[in-house]
Amino acid sequence: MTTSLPQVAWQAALGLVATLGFAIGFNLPRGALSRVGLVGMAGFLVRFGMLTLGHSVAAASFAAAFFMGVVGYYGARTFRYPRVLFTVTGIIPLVPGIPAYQAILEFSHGNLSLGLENLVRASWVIIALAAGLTAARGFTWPERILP
Amino acid sequence: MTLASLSQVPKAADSAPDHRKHDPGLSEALRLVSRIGVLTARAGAAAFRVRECMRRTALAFGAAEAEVVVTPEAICASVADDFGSETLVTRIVPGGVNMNALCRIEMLTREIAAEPHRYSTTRVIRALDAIELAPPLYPPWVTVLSLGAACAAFCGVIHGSPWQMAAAFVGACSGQTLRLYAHARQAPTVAVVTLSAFASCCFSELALLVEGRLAASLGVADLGPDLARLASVLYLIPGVGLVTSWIDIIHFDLSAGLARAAHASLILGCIAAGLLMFLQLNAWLAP
Repeated sequence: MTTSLPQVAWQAALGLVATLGFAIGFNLPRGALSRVGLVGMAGFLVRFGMLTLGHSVAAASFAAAFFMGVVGYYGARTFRYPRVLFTVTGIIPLVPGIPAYQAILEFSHGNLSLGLENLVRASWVIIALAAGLTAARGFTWPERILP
Repeated sequence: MTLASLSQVPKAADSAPDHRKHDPGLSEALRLVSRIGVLTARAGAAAFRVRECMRRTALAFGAAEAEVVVTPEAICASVADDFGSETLVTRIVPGGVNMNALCRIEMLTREIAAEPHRYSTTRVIRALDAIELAPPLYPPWVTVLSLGAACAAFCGVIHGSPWQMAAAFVGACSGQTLRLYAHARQAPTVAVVTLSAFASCCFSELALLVEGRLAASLGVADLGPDLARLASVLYLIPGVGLVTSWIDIIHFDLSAGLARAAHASLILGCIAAGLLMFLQLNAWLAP
């Protein structure tokens, strides 16, 4: 699969808008908006890059969550914000809303096997996101944000 | 063992002078720690983060040991010093995700742990009052537009055309407006999510109808694959709940994790109900 620069730029812009949209919805402090937006966009691009390279959605989501967990740790140390701001807000755009929605749609149409397939796909991605964040937390333990 | 509801946790700053600035006493420390836990949990934190905030504050207030059990409905905290131990169960009133509150509480507890001599009971109570009573940082219309833009961006991610993105934006903005209106009137969550999903589907479909006419007048034949309805309800997907439920389970907070997963499933079921209502209406209106 080939990817052009405009495609990458378009994905980056969409990732930034999605992260900032949810960040404002979650009442994120104003001073942290741009930094969290950039971390979310970078995580979005990590996942896009891995998908482009042919990896599975779950592996790409794990890598993106791990990346955001590690970057969030250093971001938290540098900018004196709790790490949760960078990690949880950044990964929300990666939550598989579309497979979850498709699962709902298939169940509502009585297509149980397709619904279950989508549900399992969505669950794998959610588990991968949680595992990525937890692995990053273990990788950067102990936290030392304040001196 | 002492049982107390949230209303019994001290909220207003005491006017009486504080003679025990460094050691507020076990009962008082436990009440403060429980309030910190309740506020952290209400802001949407995972169970391990609630426990960390509570433990570091309890130890800074002079407790020799602190044990905390967190469930989505209640927090059970137990602290002990050389003279005895006390336990307090505090009920959690549900709230939405609030990153500003979460940030401020985490910073406050870290500062208390780093410099406990600077924090009297009164000062901590004042700080917690300020966090609890703080209004949202963004006006409702900004929240509505930003979530609409996020849903439109999702539509673009799944290769939706600009027409579809615009319809997703309209649908999400309409649903979020209804959700804010219903939340302000303390409507039950189940009804709010169901009606918001229904409204989002209806308005995204209406937007597509209008766009179809506009596109026809501009000579555009196709609006692209039908993705607007799908993207317009994505703001309702309980992303934080789904992810924190697995984080809780990975940290072996099984009761908290399973309860969160059950609640997230309930929300997904409500979205399904709203979608079904729309599909029924659509089938009824279709020739």
